[in-house]
Amino acid sequence: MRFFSYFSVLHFSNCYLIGPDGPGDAVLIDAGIFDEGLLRLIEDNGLYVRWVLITHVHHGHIQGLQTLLKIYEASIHAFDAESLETPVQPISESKPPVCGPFSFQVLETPGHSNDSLCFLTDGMLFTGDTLSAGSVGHTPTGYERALLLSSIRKKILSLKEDVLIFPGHGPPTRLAIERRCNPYLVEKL
Amino acid sequence: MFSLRTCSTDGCDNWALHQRDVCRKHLEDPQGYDREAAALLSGSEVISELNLTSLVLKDLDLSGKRIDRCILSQTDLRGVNFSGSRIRLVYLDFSVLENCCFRNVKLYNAVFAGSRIESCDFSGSDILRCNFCGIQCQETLFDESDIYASRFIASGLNRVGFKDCNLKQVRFEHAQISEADFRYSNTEDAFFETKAHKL
Repeated sequence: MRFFSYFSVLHFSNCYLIGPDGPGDAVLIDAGIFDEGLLRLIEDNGLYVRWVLITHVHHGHIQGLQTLLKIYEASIHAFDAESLETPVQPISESKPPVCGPFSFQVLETPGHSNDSLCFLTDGMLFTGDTLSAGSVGHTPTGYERALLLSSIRKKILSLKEDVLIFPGHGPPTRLAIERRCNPYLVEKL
Repeated sequence: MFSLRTCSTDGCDNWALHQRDVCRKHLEDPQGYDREAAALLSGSEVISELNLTSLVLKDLDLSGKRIDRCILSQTDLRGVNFSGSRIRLVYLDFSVLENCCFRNVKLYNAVFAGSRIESCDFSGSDILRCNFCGIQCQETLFDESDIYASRFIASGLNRVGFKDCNLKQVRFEHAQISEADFRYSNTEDAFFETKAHKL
């Protein structure tokens, strides 16, 4: 299995590509901006995007979908099937995505948005905007902030400390780091 | 991809080390493993996909290496020279770095979070999107570096130089900063207050 991260300067958002050791079908986690750099990353590594997992339907994480679908015949997986103009396969904790040889556990983590999901595979957690290095996702109200922190505590902080975290924005981190250094979580533990 | 295998010792769920079936805690000869790892690192131009958690290295020259997708968490590095290296997606979290040289390095997505960094030199480097959250750092220089989109959230920075740096999108919220030198740097493009940033 190969793993690549890609950073879009336009929305400062990350997307992640997971593919086989050789050429073949790959999973893209979020489709931020589908630009030439991302296309080159996919093509130069002999990959074909067959599955797209969406952490949440905010512009900076889905803007590239229409372009991507003009190039690849990919199935789109998100929590809310109605929220996109393109056909979407709904996924949830009880209905994880089927992505060929790649398996993902889905964590429902509402708060930053109602449809926020995190994806866990092979010791790596893709958190979208739910949790990032030293921070948590923006929330418009106190209720949503409480919901977000509750989601993080119940679903993420209960995972193994070694889990590597790849957020939708900012640098990578690890669960042990966030437990000890994230000011939003340390105060709430 | 990271090569993550669980330690073969019953009941232990730590990751096994490179070329071993066990984690650091269950190694029979940790010092021998450190020597073996030091030889491996200094003898390779490209170092990738290794788990060398809790390694202890002293006075080693790793200048000009390409270090890619490695886990070097909880390592103890003293007098290690990384100058001119390219370091990408490497975890050096909860480590001790003393008198280490990172001059003119290209760091991308490296994780130093929770580490104690003392008397180190990161001057003249590209330090892009790196995680320094929760570090305790003193007597260290980042002068003349591009630190774009790196995070120092909840860190302790004492007598640290950020002179003539690019600080665009750099986040210092909740940091305790004393006697830091930000002269000629674009501090207006960094975030020091918690309210200033939202995803």
